[in-house]
Amino acid sequence: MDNELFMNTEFPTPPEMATHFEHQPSSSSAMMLNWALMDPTPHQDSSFLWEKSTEQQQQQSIFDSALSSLVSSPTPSNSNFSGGGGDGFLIRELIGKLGNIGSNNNNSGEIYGTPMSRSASCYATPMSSPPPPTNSNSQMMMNRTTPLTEFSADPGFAERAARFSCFGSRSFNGRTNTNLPINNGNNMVNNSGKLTRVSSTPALKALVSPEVTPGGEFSRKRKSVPKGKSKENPISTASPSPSFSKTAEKNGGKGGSKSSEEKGGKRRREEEDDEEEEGEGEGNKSNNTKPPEPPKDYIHVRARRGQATDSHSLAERVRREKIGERMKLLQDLVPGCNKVTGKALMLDEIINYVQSLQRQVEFLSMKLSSVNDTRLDFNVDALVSKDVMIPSSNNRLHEEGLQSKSSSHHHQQQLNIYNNNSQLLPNISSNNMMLQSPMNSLETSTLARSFTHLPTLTQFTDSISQV
Amino acid sequence: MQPTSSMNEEFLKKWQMGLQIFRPSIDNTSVHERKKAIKLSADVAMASLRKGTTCWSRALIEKTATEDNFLVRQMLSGIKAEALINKKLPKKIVCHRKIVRRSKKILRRKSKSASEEAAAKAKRLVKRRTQGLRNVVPGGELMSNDVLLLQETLDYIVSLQTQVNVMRSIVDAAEAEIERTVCCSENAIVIRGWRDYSKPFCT
Repeated sequence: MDNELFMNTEFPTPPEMATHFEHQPSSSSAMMLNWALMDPTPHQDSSFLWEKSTEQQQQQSIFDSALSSLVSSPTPSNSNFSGGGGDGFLIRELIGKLGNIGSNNNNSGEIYGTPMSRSASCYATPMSSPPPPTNSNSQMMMNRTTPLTEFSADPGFAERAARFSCFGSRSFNGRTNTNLPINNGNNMVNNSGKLTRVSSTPALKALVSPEVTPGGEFSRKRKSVPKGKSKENPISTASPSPSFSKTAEKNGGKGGSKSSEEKGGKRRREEEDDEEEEGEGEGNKSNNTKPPEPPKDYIHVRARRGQATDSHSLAERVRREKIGERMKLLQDLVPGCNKVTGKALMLDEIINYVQSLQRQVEFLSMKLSSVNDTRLDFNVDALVSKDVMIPSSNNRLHEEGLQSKSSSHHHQQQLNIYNNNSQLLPNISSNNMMLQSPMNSLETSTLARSFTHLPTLTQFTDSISQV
Repeated sequence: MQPTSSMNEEFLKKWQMGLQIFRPSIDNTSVHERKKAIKLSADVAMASLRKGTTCWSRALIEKTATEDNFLVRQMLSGIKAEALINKKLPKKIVCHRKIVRRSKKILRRKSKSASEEAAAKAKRLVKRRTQGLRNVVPGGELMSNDVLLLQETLDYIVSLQTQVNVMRSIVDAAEAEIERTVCCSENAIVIRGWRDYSKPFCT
């Protein structure tokens, strides 16, 4: 499920994928991982992402990693976009990174121009980085990194878009399976989720069918489509555009690309159910119009039934969902937050937890400085071997391991520790030892008085870990 | 996601390296100086694990660099230290409180219904908390939106947990060792020849 949703963000999934993705749904996560790894242009956080993914649950890690890369990357590099544009920019980047399945590298220049001129919002700005001419990488990689905008100029895009439109239905599926020319053989995995999505929207079949034919005029038409939130647009001559935007959304929007579609509230419901992931995508402000932009760098949000289709409210809704997702993750991380509901209380807990962790660090460093004044090196070296022998990831394990160390068990570890100690003792003269130990005990005693909260702290952390 | 053992090990290695570099400021200095040096090296180790990918790590390195530039640079020498330290952070978001308060008063005058007031109050609470979170997380003021803030908080919490785990394990092991050596030394002085045999007795 996660993979499907995640894959859906790669919106410019050309229909070429259609036949292929059915066969390879499982590799989607691997593909995403590869993409996250290999994407050279944006940042160097891919290594970090890779670490995370190998360690954590793969799905969530991939998700988080991609999101974190997207989240973290734009801010340092694109400081000129500020305010409300931040999120949209992120989403544009997300789309741009994820969606480049389009194989066409031809019309990149043309595509960049159009959205700029049209939309006043930050969403209009295309991705600043042109497709990296990395032909050395695999084709898949290159396809991924080429901007999404390119394939909007693809003459066959209308067909593909129509097919992948969420408003398409099973008939779409049939059509996609049979008719789609498959140029891009590499990026196939992404569509598995999309096709299932497509099947959920039967309403716009009629809408979509006329669009299948106009391939070449599509690019022309979308430019002429006026930007605006009028709901009649899709139904009228701008019929390609909504399907276009929808398809683009489908392909690009994470967790079900949504466009604020006036028709088919039920459809929206279904789409809404699908979207759970963070980074859903900002609402596309120009919902019906601007078909070229959606493939490029927009994540489209569908308006829920009974809710305003205002671009602002849509964007807000997406943002709220994103925040909700992050809060859920934080809930898992911060102990004792399962019972807390509501943002304010959760934030309170998070603040307290972070502060307590910081205080712990301070206290532990103080303790370490008092305990280990001259033997820091010895301790650290010896402890490295100990820690390696006792790999542990939480406090309790550490304590157990250490207890086993300090107790007189005749484990291999114990023998090693004794060996270490025996090596240490000759190094330190007995006089020195005698001098040091009383000093240490003195210091520890004086410090212990000031650190009377140490036991409470450990109890606190123990209770936290137990929660 | 909980901190994993590999993260712990990485942090430990980095921290060890940092402690070696900070050795001169650790030897023969007061407890406070030592504590400062230890904490500094631990913070830099924690932040360098992220290799400049997250906002908080960059902000933390900047903060530590202001305290002891040379040593921090030495510690980060292997990891594009200059780039990290000199990396430009996004501008701090400064909100002039007076202006914000005035505008809020104006807004409040307009909406007087009970439900709106409750919602507004909730919003205020949340805003206050997010501001508190920004103060706690390093580099929080530099993050432009809440989503980013929460993301950074997640990462920061995980890193803090690894730091605390490793530090605690070292402290506990060191304490245990001290106990052992103290009681062993007492025995050793009495029965030097039986030192190796006395260890099991004193633990």
